[in-house]
Amino acid sequence: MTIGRETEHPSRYPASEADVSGAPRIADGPWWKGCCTIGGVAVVHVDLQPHAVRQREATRWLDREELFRLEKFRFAGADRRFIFCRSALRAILSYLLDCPNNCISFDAASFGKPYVTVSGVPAPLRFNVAHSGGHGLIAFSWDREVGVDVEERHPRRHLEGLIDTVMAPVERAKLLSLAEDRRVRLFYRVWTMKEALAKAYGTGLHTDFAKFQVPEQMLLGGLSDEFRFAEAPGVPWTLVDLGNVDFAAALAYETRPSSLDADHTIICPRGG
Amino acid sequence: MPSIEERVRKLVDDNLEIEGRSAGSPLALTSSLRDSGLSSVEFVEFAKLVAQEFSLTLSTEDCASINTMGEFVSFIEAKSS
Repeated sequence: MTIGRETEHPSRYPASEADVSGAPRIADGPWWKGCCTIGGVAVVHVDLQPHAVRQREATRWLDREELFRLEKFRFAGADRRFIFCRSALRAILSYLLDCPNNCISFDAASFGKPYVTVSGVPAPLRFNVAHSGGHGLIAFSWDREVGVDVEERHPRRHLEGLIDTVMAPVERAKLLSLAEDRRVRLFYRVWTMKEALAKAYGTGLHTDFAKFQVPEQMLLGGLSDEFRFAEAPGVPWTLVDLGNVDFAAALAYETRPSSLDADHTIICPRGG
Repeated sequence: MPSIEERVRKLVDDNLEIEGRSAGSPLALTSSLRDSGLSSVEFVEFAKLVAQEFSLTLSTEDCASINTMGEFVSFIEAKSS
């Protein structure tokens, strides 16, 4: 890869169209496709499997700073995940914000949550990115904070230590009561819910995961419930389990009526 | 007696599976472990392992302030002093 030259930025992400209500639609791309639309939030799945041709094409979306960052990664897996997720993010933002890719930049809030700017001005669109192994998820919303997490389920060599570090007492007791395979499965489910909430809230790992508990109904298998952080009880969050046979995943978003739904409902082409 | 850095390095070598990293290839002290492709759960699991090795307590908040092997070494030195 050459650093220091001006990359040729694709100007727009093609194949955009409006749905029947006039709302913008996130069309499938070469390495991403719609996963689901929930409560004014659209979630896109990004395919992170090795694919040399796609990776070359995806790399063209990155700006100079991102290419420089890539130089520091050194490892093929990290390279690939960053390239595919960041390029999909850029392509979709470029379409939704109706601006050329080379006007898009990213900045971060106080605890590191990234946000998008267009020509240096913060854009009215929230997003959040997560990836694990061969799977990336990106959540988009016009008007509410969002957090998403995904984890491929692999047996963990030090699961008990992890449970001790990141789980609240009720979660810990529930996990330790289960046989190993079910414990691993529930661990990932609860972890992704906690991380989605912490990312939506904007604090990520700066939140002590052991100090808050996911809703008990979610621990027992519920697919969606409301959650409130103890230090901000006036802000309700909706927590949704997005897991499937391939990965554990969760989405968290602010629960409030949208003033923009009529104009900006995001509808993915295919359900997840 | 191995140094803190050597012990942390051994924990990295014995426990972290980093896709694309050739066997025996050493990580620099300043290399970002997160940018090496570790997921957040892998990172916290590794941080917990380091804490156990040095008999320290650790929360996810501590993990948020650590990114490189060198920062692990500094964290251990600070907590041990």
